[in-house]
Amino acid sequence: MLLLSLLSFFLVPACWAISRETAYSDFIDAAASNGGVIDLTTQTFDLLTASDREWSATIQLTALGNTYKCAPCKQFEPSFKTVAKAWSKVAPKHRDNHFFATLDFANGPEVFRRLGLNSAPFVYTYPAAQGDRVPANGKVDPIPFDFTVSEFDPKSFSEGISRFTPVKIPYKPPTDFKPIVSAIVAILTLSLGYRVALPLLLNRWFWAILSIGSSLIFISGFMFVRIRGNPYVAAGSGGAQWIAPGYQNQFGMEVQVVAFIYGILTFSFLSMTLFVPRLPSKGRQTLAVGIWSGVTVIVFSVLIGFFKLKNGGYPFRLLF
Amino acid sequence: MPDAIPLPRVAPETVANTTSLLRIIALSLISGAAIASRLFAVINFESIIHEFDPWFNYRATRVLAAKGFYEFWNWFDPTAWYPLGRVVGGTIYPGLMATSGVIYNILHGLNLPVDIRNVCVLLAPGFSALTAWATYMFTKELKDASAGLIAASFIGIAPGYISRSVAGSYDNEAIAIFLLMFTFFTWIKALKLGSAFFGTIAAVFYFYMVAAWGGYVFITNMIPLHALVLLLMGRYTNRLYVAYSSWYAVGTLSSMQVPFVGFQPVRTSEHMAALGVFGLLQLVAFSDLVRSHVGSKQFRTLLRVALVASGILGGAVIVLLTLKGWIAPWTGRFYSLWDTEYAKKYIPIIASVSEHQPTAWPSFFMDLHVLITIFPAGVILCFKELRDEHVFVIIYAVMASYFAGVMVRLMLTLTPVVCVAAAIATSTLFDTYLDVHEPEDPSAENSVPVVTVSGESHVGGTNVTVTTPAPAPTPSKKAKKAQAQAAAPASSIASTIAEATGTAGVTTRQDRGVFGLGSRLVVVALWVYMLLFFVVHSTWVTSNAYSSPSVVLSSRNPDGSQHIIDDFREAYYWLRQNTPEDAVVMSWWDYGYQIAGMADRPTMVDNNTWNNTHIATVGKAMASSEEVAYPILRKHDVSYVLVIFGSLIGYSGDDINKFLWMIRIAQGIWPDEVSEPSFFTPRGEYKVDEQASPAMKNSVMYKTSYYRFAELYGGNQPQDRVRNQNLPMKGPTLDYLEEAFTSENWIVRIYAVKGDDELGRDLKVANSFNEGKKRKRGRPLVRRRAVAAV
Repeated sequence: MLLLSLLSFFLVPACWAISRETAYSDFIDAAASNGGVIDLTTQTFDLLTASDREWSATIQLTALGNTYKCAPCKQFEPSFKTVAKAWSKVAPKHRDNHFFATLDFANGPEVFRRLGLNSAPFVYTYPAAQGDRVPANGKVDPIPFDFTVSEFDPKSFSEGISRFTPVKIPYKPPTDFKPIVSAIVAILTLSLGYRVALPLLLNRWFWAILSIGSSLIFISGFMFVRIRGNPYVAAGSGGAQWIAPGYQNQFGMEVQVVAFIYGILTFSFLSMTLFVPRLPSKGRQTLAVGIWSGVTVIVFSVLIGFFKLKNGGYPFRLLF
Repeated sequence: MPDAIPLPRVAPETVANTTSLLRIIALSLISGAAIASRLFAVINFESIIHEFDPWFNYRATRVLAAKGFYEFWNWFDPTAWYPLGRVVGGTIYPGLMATSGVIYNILHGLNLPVDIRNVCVLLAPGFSALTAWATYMFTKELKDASAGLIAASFIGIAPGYISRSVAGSYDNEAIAIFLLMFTFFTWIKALKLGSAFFGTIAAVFYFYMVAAWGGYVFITNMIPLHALVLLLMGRYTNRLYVAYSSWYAVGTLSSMQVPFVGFQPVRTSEHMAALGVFGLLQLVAFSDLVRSHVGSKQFRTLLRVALVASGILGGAVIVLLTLKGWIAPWTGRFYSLWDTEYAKKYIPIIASVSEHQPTAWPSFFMDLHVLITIFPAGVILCFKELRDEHVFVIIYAVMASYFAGVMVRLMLTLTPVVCVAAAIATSTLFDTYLDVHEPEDPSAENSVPVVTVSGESHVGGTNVTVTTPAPAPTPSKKAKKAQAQAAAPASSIASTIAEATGTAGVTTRQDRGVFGLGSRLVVVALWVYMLLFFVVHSTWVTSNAYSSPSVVLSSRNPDGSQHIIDDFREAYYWLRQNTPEDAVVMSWWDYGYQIAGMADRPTMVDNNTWNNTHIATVGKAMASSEEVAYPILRKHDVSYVLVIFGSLIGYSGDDINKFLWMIRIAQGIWPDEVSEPSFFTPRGEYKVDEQASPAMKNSVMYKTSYYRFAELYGGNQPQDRVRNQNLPMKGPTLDYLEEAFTSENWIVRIYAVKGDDELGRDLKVANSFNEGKKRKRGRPLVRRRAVAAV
């Protein structure tokens, strides 16, 4: 008994030392063979995050299997891979001090349970716990990457993780060809379709439609939806819901509906102002005035009703 | 050419005199309405300065009134941004204070002993009357005086403008919108006349605007954009050259006299458009001059190439200077207008302000109501005319719609153009339907289509509405008669003109117009009704939504009577009367100006958010545990910590709701020590109840907010009425702070920072030692009662 415990007393550190050394080189190989990302299981996860690690690691906890239906996981996966790939291009003396690894729920549900995670994806960065790369404040607990401030795009991810890596991750966003290509296409179309385009560009009504259109979109809250990233419609009780509750909120579809309503009101106003006086007979004029007045009243009542939905305390109404 | 109603003949002079009299009466009534509707705040509450920024403006104005302009100019305020202090004279737009100082001195010169506070409270309503007048002048340049009157009445009562100009809302915007509209009016006038005189006046008002509001950059870019578009449309004239050059030269030089602006007009990107267009105009003017003197075709080609080359060269120089850092790139606040993601990522302090949020459509409708639906029609009518000044309105409309969509507060710049465009539309409608002439019977002739819009019909229409300042024609006989009388002079003038210009007027009049009285009555009644609806809506919005001082809150008693919640002033006056004059108060920056203005105590941070690190320090102190925060507090000499707490009465603008921004801003500076996710529950929820995260529960903000709150419920489940969550039965305890004051409805809670322990122990240790004793002797009397009774 005594012998056994003595034996283990001597053996355990030795095993540790051996397993850590082999694990370290294993990790380097695994990372090199898989585009900079180590695929983890529960066992390798424990090794990678061992409390005596001399390396740091950024670990993605995700659930990519189709059964989990994790859309954000799939959305984030490419960014993680790209940044890890960029990291694998760093000189080995820095590169081998920081690992990128991913643990799928299917390969290590125990880890998720242990960390108390009910959702995915999560990214934790484990700082080095030993050696000269231990953080200055001595904190070696895993640091979650904050998706609420940064988005899923590789640029903000690499910037966020660069705080923990020995050197900055050399990630460069791929050249965005879209504006260049569209500029070339625009110039080509313009120069080829010069004869068609020129009268259009010189036509004031072309510009009128352009500016009225953009104005209508802006005053219908287009920028709100864009900046807040609000959805077009949202799932509500009993199917899709296209009216966002609350006065200072709206969905994408509301932009279209409101712009359309404003458009109708503007058009009926213009009809009354400009087109009715051109009608050459009294009967037609009376009919047109009737129609456009009716349209104005009804559509405006709808608009007021719509507004009352958004602002419950509004006391006025027109028709209904 | 039959008339819908037979008209009596009136002499043209009588018409002219009556219209000008009516115009003056209408304008003064509009001014009266504009001022009156802004007085809800005074009537419902009292003559008090509102909100946050106005308290600083008021404090600065008091310094100006008491000590004179020179002292004000050199004012260094050691109590703000403790311990840094603030150079006030060089970091403000002094226009507002100077304006009220001048008014104050004039009134006192006339032996009218008006209090400076009342001057400040009533400045915004007074200037709104001037805005109405400026809008009238502006719209008059675009269409005619009747459209001008309608525009003036729109801007007088439009909630979008009232929201920032009610009595007591003593902020830069109070005078800035008048200056904006007047500068635009003089610019249009200068452009129309090619007058250096009006150009210089535009520059002088531009200078006033620069001295008054940071939003002057809007003018700085609108006028060059207008000039540039006119150039691109091939509408270069010497008038444009004279107007722009005089405005730019005088305006830029004078704007540089404002210390806060200094050399920015030549050093920052916001101002480069104006400079670039100035240079471009010189080139175009030069080429124009040469072209008129030199005939040779080759030379002209050479000249054109040289000009294009020098234009490109100039642009390249500007780009190079920007890259080299000689010209500062767009500053954060302006840049975030274009790149809307920018502020959220890099300057959370800008993104955190509620008035910098994007605008959802109900806000547009709330602020502009029916005007927003006919505003596009007005823009279309501008396209129909498309004189130089109409181009201006079109550009203004598109740009302002975009800006108002990106930032709620810029609704203010959209409102004037919506009023102007809607007035043009409405006035055109009334012109058409109040014009008494009827076209020829169509059966009599197959009319030849005449394409041109006759000038005569416009002149005729003009006079009709001038004499009828939007009457409400009910189908009663009296009203019809009035309408007929009002419309009468038009026919006489129109016929006079028609006679003068020969038969042209007669032929063009025939194919346009409205038949019969029925259509006229329907359309006019409909739109008068709509406009009355707008008036009712505006009044309701103004009295209900925009007249709250936010320093004093109001709620309704069960019987419907008004109940005033005056916690803020209660607490600030407590500070004023019970604390030493140099006691530093730490609160979130929102309340800095109010504490300085009402409690007269030094503050760590205030609404002039110039030092992000200092604000982050406060955020860190609030977001850390007491042990971490205590050294920070002591190092900054903080004696009191003030938090706003709404859970008792459901005041949603409290500090726990703003807490995330404090964390976020602190995290920006100390990412290792403060981390936002740790304040959320594992499920990612923002909770204050039993499940709140440890970081949340230990934070100074949480503890000071909920300290002893559970005791109010006497053993029942305590409840947070703002977040609708049940709080833990046992509230937090404090070791390094002690409760000093809590206001009537618990909105303001003030804590004193404890001094060192007498025995030199750590305060936590001392406390637990005392606690150990307490259990034997029983609870000592609560100290808060004793202090609160003072």
